Amino acid sequence: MTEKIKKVVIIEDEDQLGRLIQSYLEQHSYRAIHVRDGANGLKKIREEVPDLILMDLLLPRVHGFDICQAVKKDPKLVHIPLIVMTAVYKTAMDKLEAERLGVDFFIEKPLDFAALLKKINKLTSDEPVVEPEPDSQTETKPYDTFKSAPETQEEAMDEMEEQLRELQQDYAEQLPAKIEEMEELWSTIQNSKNNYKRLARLRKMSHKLIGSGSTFGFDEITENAQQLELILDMVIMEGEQTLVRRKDSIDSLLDNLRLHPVVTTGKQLRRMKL
Amino acid sequence: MNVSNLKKILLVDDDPDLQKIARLSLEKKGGFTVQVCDSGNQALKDVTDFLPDLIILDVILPDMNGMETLSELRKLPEAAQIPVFFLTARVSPQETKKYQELGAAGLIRKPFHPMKLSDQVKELWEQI
Repeated sequence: MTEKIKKVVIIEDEDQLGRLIQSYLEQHSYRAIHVRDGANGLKKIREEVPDLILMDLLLPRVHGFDICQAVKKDPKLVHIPLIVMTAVYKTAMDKLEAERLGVDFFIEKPLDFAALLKKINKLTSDEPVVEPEPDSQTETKPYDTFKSAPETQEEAMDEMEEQLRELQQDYAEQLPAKIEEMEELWSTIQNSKNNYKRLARLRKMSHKLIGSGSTFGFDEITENAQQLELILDMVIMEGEQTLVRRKDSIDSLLDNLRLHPVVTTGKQLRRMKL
Repeated sequence: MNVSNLKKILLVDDDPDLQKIARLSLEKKGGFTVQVCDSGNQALKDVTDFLPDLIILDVILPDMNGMETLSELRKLPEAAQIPVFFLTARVSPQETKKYQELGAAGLIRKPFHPMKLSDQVKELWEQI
């Protein structure tokens, strides 16, 4: 008799990671469906009624905790095992909240794929689950890795700083691709006519860097992006001649962005100024 | 307004990185319950379900811009009275005046400091 193929819905807004998990699970005979935000995740869960839900917590549109709550309140979905993965919600308080909401397993990022697969296999198995003895060394219990709750305000802020640095790291890792996209767009603009939409798009991308650069601790990114946006505003208003006149300035600013240490290495290079 | 009345915040911003850091800051430091959406149209749907005490609204959004979104929110009975703060890098005197004329209750400048965001929100709230 053919064994039923188990279905997993993966809700992960980091596209590369989501696709990686999807590919990994499919190599291990799961049918894996990847969605990128909480609202679509909930919709997909209701459509597919999967054998397991694997999700990030910090999701766009609907938070992972809200998804947990919705799933556990729905009689059609309450039976589905929930694994959450997170880089930032790792404190004892977060663990308690996850437990309260019915999460079956909590895994920290960066992921140990082998451990994750082992857990998914166990939670989707048709065999009765036999929990290991408490002193077993075969796997850690779901919440063993968490620190105890902060005792002081200072400790709570230290934890938040750590979580912010992890977000800073994520931002730094994605920045090279964004700058590369801007450079490619600029290259297209220089070789094309009727560039209003492309220029508007490049300006929008600059604008986003203004808002995010300093927020994540990279002031030079914001500064260069501010100058770039100003010049692009002029080019958009004044037209082709201004584009020609300002070409070198735009080249220079994009070079500054491309050569910023965080872009060249994609790594967090300094502690976020907090 | 008394900050004890500020519990739920609807954050409308289409930048996933800023969504995450703002949400972390508002939840962890501010203790607020935060829902995030990424467009004006989604905000119009979410506001009636979530019923926030405050809406923090980006100006540059993929469908309607923040100012259009605010105008549409004011047409909804559930949202007509909810204070709105704009969160934006567009803060020229002319733009700031426009936000005030549209009825924004506050303005938070981007880029923001993640450790100070929730304090800024509370200060602006108390000035309403």
